[in-house]
Amino acid sequence: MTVAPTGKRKLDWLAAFLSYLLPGLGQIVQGRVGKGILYFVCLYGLFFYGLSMGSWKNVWLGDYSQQSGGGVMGFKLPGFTKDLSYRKEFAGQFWIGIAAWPAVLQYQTTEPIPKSDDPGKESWQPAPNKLFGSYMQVPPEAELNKLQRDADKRWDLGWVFTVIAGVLNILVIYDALAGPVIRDEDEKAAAAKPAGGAA
Amino acid sequence: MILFAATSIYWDLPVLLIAVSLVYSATRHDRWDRIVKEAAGWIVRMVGFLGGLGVVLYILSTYPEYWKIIAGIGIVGTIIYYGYSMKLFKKRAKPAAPIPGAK
Repeated sequence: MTVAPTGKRKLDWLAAFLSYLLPGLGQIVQGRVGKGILYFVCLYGLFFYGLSMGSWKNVWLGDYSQQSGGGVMGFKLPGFTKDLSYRKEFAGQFWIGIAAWPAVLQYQTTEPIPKSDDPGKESWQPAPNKLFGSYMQVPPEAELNKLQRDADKRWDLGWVFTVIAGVLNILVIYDALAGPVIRDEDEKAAAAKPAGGAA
Repeated sequence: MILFAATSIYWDLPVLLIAVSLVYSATRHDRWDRIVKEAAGWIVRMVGFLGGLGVVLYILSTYPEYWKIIAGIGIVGTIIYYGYSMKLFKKRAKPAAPIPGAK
């Protein structure tokens, strides 16, 4: 039975931010430890399982500033949004929190991807980051092609897992912010309400 | 066949189904019994839907000449299943008669 929420919900912005950083951390701080651990295990499990399915090379954001294309429905996008239009998956993966930050750091420090008609594009290899190496760094095109060709669809399924984990964490953030959709006190209030809706 | 079973990507799906069901259900309830009950319901629904789809596609690829009959059965079955699960076919309860003398 779905019960309409009664009363105003108190919003816990700090817990929401903590749950963004680490899935379930906000719930643990709120005292809902079991639920926090459930979120952490399920979402990190899903995210890193997907990452491993893609040979640890399916979460990244590249610098496509030198490309002439990019955009949404014919509209050209500026800067970061243009890069995101080339790698839309990252818009979902980002919400897993700290686990996706190496990709943001790599995006900031890796040189732009050469133009499509650049003769050196085939052999282009980005310099590894001093801290993370090539972890969550944009892979060279030749390597991407090889992964997609040889990975028996698991590479593609892997990024789907990581995107779902990130998007599910948005629900977890909302749970930390405002509590679950159906609250025990709402049900008690609905049960205590006399039949016919009279207050 | 054994090689297919060992390397199939379908072995990865239970991880997804369990994680998605548990997390979604936990965002709807705080009580563990309700979380587990709703998660189990979602797992059954998703497995039923995907499994049903798989069976229909398998039969279609095995007997392509009967595609109209198979598709018809599939569509009718889907309507009946979702009709019942969404309680579209159940009679609506009549409102209780007012108690004589009550305001």
